[in-house]
Amino acid sequence: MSDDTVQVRFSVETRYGTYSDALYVPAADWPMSDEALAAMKQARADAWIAAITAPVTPCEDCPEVETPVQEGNG
Amino acid sequence: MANRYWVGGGASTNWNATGNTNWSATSGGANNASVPGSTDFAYFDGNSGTGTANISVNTAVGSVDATGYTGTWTQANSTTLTVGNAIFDIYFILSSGMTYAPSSASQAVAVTAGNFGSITTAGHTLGNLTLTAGSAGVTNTLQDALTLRGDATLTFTSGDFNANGFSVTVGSFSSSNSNTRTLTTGTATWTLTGQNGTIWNTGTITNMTFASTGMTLNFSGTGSGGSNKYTKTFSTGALTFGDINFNPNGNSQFALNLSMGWTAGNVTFTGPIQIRPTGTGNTTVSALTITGPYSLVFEGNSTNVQFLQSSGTGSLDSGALGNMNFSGGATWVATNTFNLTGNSGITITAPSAGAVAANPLGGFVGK
Repeated sequence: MSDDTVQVRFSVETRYGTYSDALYVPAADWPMSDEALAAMKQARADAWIAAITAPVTPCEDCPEVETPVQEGNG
Repeated sequence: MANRYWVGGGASTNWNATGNTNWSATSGGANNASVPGSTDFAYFDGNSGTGTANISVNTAVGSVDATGYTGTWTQANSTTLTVGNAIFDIYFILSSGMTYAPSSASQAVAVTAGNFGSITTAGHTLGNLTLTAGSAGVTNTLQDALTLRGDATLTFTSGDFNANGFSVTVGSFSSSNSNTRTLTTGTATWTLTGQNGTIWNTGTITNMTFASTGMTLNFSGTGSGGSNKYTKTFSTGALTFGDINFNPNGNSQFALNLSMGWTAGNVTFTGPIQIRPTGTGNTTVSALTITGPYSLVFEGNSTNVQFLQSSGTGSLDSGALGNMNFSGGATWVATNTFNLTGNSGITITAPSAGAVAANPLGGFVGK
């Protein structure tokens, strides 16, 4: 990354695990307010959660899971 | 080697447009410089405008730096942007202000480092990504989190790949070959969002160094459950993992073809999940927890298909168990579980009669 940027590493704890990322802020925009940085970090974490919880796209080519007959009995 | 700066104004918005090209020898300069090739550095910056740059065919450049760029990349299906050269340090840098959103996994990127590779994706979700380094000691290093589409594969071919402690989220991961290679993850969460097929493939680990015991590996269902049922495969040789969570939030239901013979920290399976060990081997874990509804059935009869845990309690709840072996010193307990016979080393408590009627397994698990 260019020397004209400032790296901000961060991690966010979520129910889906720890999200670890980095922001690259133009040096001209540095320092940023804590609120602005927090919003940028949260936006990245929200995008990650959206990616890992996106609804299943119908998979016409996917084989169905077998449905074995259950024999057990309590 | 030449530097080329995207300025637009070409015969088309394609990277390879000629007649008039979209490239300049200087930032913000006049267009019609030569199209960058496989040994040239391509730059997109604040002087590149906000228009579209389209990758219409397979394209190779020595390096790409889009720091400060606010335009849009588009890419044709079944094309690969190859970034790399054998001589110089290479960079694949996207900017947060640009737009790049592959609509297909086939809109691919390949990073090929001959000396040093640095990858910054700035929050963008990529299609298929292949990482190659020319030799051991040559490293492709992430500079921020990496996310691929749920149907896209991260393929690690050779050399070193250092995820540098950043989160990696991919549809599937593949590194199954005999090339000399080292995968280093640092302490990070890797999430596999693929819904079907071989989601993790390190079946052949010849010449592979796996420095990844600090990682947490999540096989995440990319859905909300419902009636969709898919088959995922975890194929690996005898690697040592950190913690692994299969269906960590129970937000999907799938069958899991599970290699045996590996080592990990804490391993959880969250139902609804149908676990089908493939092949034989001892799988050693720090702690195993299975929360149903589940089935864990080996379709065979071997004493060499077992989980080993040295201490504490290995806990399985609400499911069905068949032809599995448990040992290693831990106390093994399966509660609310149908004993489908062929098990050893575990105390199995069947569901109560009343629980059978309310059995959440339905037709999904069992034997």
